[in-house]
Amino acid sequence: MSYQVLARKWRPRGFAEMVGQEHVLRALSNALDSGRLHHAFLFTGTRGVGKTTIARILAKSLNCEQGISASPCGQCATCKEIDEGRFVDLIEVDAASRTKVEDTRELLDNVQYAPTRGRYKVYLIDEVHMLSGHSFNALLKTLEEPPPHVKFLLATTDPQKLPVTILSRCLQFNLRRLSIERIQAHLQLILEKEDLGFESAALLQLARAADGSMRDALSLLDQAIAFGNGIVNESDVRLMLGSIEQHYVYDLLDALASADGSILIQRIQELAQQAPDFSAVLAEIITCLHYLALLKQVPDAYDYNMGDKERYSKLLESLTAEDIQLYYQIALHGRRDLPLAPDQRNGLEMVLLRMLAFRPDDGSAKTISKPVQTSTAPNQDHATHVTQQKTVAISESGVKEPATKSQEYDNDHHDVLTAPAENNTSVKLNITELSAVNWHEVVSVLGAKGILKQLVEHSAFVSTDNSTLKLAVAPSHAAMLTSEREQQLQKKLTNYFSKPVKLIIEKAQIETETPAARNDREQQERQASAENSIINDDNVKNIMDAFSAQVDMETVQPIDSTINES
Amino acid sequence: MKLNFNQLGSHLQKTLQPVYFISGDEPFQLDESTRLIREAAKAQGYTEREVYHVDRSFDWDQLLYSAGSMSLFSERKVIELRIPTGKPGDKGCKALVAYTSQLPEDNLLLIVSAKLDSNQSKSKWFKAIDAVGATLAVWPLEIQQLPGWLKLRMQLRGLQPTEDALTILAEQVEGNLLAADQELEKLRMLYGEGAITAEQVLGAVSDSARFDAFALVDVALQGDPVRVSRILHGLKNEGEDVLHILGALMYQLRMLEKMARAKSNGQPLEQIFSQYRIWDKRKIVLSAGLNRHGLKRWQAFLLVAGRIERMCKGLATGKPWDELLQLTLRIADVALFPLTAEQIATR
Repeated sequence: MSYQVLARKWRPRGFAEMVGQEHVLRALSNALDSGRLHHAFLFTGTRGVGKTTIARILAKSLNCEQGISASPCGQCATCKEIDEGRFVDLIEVDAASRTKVEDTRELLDNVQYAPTRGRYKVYLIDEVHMLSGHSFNALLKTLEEPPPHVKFLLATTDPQKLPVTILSRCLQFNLRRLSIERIQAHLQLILEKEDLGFESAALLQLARAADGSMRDALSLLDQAIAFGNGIVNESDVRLMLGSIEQHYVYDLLDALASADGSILIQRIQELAQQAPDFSAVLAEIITCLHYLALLKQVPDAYDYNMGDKERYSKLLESLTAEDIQLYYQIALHGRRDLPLAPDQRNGLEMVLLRMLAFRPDDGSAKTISKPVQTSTAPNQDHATHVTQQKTVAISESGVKEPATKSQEYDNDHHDVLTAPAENNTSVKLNITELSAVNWHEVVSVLGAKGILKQLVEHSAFVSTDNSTLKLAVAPSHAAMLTSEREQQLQKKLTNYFSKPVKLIIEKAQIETETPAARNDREQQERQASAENSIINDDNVKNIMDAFSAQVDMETVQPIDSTINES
Repeated sequence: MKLNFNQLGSHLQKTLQPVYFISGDEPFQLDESTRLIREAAKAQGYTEREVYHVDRSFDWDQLLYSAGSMSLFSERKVIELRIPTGKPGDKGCKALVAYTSQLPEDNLLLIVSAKLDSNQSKSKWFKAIDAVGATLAVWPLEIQQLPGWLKLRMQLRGLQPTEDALTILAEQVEGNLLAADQELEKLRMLYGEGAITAEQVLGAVSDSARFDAFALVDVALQGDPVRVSRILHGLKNEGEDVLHILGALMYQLRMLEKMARAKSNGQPLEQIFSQYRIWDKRKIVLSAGLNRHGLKRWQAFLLVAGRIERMCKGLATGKPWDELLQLTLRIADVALFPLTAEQIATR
């Protein structure tokens, strides 16, 4: 007997044999058993997850000679013919090769006639998204008024390409990709039934490479059986799949963990021979460090998709939580800097060397435990000294600085933004001590905002006794004065002096200095002194002499005021 | 005569107009109204049916020929005209006016069109149709109408949902009536007719990635890092698009941020929950999260999520899946690395 590929040989013949897709199977089984089946179904999902298989089983369920049920007998002539793909009332169409409207019309011409042998005519249209616009319209007319003896089963990998009118006529089921565990278990089952030798690590590799598709997994298994001459073992499968990327990342991190520079360099050289995309390797390293950090904190969070469990546990033993944190930071910075490196390999090498050089301080003075031996090493002590200095520099400027802004988020200070500035700790004045000289001090801490702030800053002190305060506002600013604002101000003053204050604001010529005027004056004074210090600066003078330069006075700003602005 | 969607059923029981014009951009109601009209026509002996799609190559004379020719097999026929652009053009205008001025006795004309702009709805042909037949414009459902609509549709199928079940369904389908109708059909397939509980709804929709994204947020709020990692890897493994998950996550984060804001303003949690129509079991989950993180954190989470979105779209460097795992773990109170300024930068 000729060899039949595994995917065909082990294609499920009934719902019970299917792996995964429980949600779809349950809905379909219930509908079949209760005899209330929608007239059109749309199955979506990637390659090899069971779209066509489900459709075939459904065709059997509907036409089985033992009656409609979710479990067709598989023994009667109808079931056998469907399995063998030669049942007259199951019309299978590959839409990808028959996209034209003539094809669709021809197909649908016979829709109205009763089935030849079965109960239902089942139209299975695969890759339905490939139909042309006219073909869809032709199909739509039938879908809108389907004859009772017809069921449509549409399958596609790409439901977005279907017109909404078609979607609205079909009950849509999304088939999910299969998990690695599922595929692995199924491969194992098949190999046991086929009586072939295998290593489960090899099956894990195959399952991962199948990328969610059972059909791909089975054809890879076919290949692996042929490759290993009837036995599926890990080294063969690894060779066959050519999967290297992940294991290089582990090797690099292993070398880092053992703090061995020469091995690290050797690993990078090996990696370079594969001519990889170095930025992708760095990204893989970041991902791996990320998983390591997670497993350090929550060991149970391991998932098959992360990669090799044993390599991870080995790395977790040899790396401390601090190592991981630091490597991650360095790798993140490295990712940013990588495009700036003269070439990508150098960039990645520098990142890894940096990780090697800057291990977290464990109390010993030596940062590099085994420096790389090179024939031209000039001055070992000097080199170590420099790196140590750099360690300090980086940890101060590079790592800590960006964290400061985020600190407030991490510490969760609810009031960072909302609290008014209360850093002014000057002693509160008593109302009787108030005078034209210290009035501005009160104004600066009143916390008035908007127009109220403008108003109070443009008002001058006139007189005071124990309970009343008289202010004056120049007629040019009197427009801001309303009784409402006056009351608000009075309230703020009452708060400030911690006792009732009666406020009288009169419109009058201003005789003393208002806080606003005081600000202006101080600003001007600061400006003048800044300009002075520039002009009288020796260096500036030298430059002016040497290049016959001029100072552009408008650009001179007193330094303290720019700080206040920012 | 102008009709609205809700009147159509009772209108068709009383009378059948010679011309129906249905327009709008909400596919479910369009579909449902044509179905109702088609069925009413069939019951009155319009057994034949011709469908024409109006595209550039469509010959409007065909409409008049068809109207003029007798049906071979039956006495009466339905002519369906699809106008996906909503603009019949000059020739179409003439043909439609001609058709309405001399209505063929044994024909029913059913026109389905995209939403009309104001020019078209004032046009000569539209007025001509309105004068002799019925026009119906369908509109997308307002979000407040959705629970009522769902309840009605469920009762039509013999399903009796609980209040919680309705709330969850409404949340899940987010205004997509087509998807909603399909979910209801699947509910009936899974559980048969009768009462539908919140648990059943959650069990039934578990095949949609949206649901997993919601579950992801819930386990994160409950502070379960192991399941966060499981679900996220499961989604990744199933080839789910990271943007889908992120969309659902951001939807929840925005809601939580608003709740956290209300909470920091001193509003009691119970009041906030009733305002957002949160169902009972979810209240426990949400209050766990709201008690764990304050407003500032939720805002930071939103910013991080925004950055992940930019990553997906190539505007920031990084691996979206890794960052998504970090973010959800952080919500679950497992901080792998300190937040960097870069992560919460707004640009």
